[in-house]
Amino acid sequence: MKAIRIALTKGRLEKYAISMFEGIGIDCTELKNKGRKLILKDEKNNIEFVLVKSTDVLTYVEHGAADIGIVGKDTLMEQNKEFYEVVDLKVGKCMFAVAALPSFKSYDGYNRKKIATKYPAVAKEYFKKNNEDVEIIKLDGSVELAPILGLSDAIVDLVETGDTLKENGLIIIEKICDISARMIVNRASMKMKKENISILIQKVQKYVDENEVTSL
Amino acid sequence: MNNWKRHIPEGSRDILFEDCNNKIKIIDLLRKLNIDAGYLEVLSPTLEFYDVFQGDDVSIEQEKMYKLFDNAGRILVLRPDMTMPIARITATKLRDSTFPLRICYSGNIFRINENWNGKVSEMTQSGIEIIGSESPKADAEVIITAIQALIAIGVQKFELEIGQAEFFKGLIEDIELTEVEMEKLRGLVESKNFGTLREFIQEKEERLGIKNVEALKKLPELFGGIEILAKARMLTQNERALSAINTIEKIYQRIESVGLGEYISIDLGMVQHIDYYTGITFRGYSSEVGTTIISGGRYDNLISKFGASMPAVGFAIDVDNILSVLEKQGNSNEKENEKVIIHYEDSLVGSVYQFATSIRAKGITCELSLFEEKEKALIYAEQKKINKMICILEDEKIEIIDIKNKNSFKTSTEEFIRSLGEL
Repeated sequence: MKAIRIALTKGRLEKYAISMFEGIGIDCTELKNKGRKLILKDEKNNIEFVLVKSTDVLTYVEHGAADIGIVGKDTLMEQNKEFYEVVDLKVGKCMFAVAALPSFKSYDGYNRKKIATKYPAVAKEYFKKNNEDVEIIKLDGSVELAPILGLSDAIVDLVETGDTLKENGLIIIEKICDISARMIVNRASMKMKKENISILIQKVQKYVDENEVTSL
Repeated sequence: MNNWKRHIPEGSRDILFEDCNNKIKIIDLLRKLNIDAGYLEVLSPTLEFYDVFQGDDVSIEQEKMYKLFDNAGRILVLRPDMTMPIARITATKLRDSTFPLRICYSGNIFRINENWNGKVSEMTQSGIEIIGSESPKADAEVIITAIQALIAIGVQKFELEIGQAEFFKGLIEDIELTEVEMEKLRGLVESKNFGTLREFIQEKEERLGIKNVEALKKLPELFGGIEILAKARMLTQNERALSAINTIEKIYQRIESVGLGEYISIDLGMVQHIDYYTGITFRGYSSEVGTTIISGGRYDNLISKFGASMPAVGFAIDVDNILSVLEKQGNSNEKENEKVIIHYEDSLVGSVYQFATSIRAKGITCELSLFEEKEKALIYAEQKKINKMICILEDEKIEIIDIKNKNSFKTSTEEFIRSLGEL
């Protein structure tokens, strides 16, 4: 039987994913002491982990190079790819929002608004839904800077605590949607390794349900 | 200025030699299977009018099609699908033929993909359609043909999962949701988004009523073996949904009695192209690749868009994905033909072609040397991994040189051909 391969998003989600997988009885020793290894195994449960960047999680899972992925909903929304999105892990919570300087007005004349963002597809979809004609400028980081320097009228970005916005004098104009981490599964893997993957999904869902109750 | 003349566009591929042979072998094998089973072969144009693929419930997005204009300014596309052109042909040229009509095809389709995502924009499909029969017999025949084709090609571990578009349509029949909400519901079921689906339904519980709520919530889980059907029956009283289950059961029984039941699984949450498909839908997976290798279903409303109402069911095998499966399985390296090269003096050309033809008739690949010097021909043969070189001497005499160990012996053409026959 081939191992089940799980792609984890490096960084913030990695820690949570490790505690979750430990919580459902998977041996994460190698994962925690990874050194320079790229594939980290739990021989007993026949599971392999790989750590990759968030957008790469989707690519690996879509092509079936990994069976399962742990990744933020923000990444899923930005990329139009095919997979099963089976569990909302209810962590890594934040939201997509439109933010701007307080002087910003949504309906201010006929001028086409400029929106700076790291998530052009998300921004495009949102303004399309609202029938607003905007110009989207893609940036790769520190999006908050754009309205301050006059590059854009507003931004679309992930907002966790709102501190970064506040410190830079920006306010939230409108919330777009909530974001949290998800477990995704390759379509063929779901069918060809049904038994093992179904059990894993059930365990993860149970873990999420239990931990959500205790945190209330 | 950028010059692209030494490059090919992203998503396209050159397929050479052995890969090319393997691909065409599969296409030929499928063609033979289908034609022997009474399917009539068609070729449709690579360029079609945009309008063929355009309509309210047709699922090919315009941004996925390669478009160009003809000399009258009309929009053309590189065909993104094989079934719609066949629906067009059936509703126009074939409307007075004898039904049920069995059609088969193989050809390339084109889809625009995002750059750098490892997908190809030109794909080869080989498929069949049965037009003019509503019977589950036709559904079963299509699925059985698909399974037999995959077995014949040599795909080792695969599964064909069957869904039924009518099951979902039945469940949402009496539900009052806006179009946007309905699409969201469908999306959640399709992506097996269990948690969010549960929350979505709970939020709307009042409007949904209690009738089909449980069934909808469970829908993404309704996949697995044939026992899923019994489970699904307990969840709903909707007649349309129940009759959908009955059709699957009928089809399954036929497949089972043919002895192919082991390849079948069920997924009632398969609701991808729900507007296009009107009955059973199916997809095939192999454990070797992460994508579908075959897909199909019943589409009773499609042909009516072209002016003649006829039920139809069919499938398309994705030949390129099958090739990657075979490559990963490692059984694509069949025994290769023995190869020989004939080297000859110009004055003897008269008999050489005749001689080569008789060697080829024995199933041996035979090429003729284009060199003047024997030594150059030998080096060439060695590099091309040719097994033997035949040098034509005078008086029907020939010299056979084994390229590997350079051993040689003399014989006559007649004797040589006879020795091949004994092998």
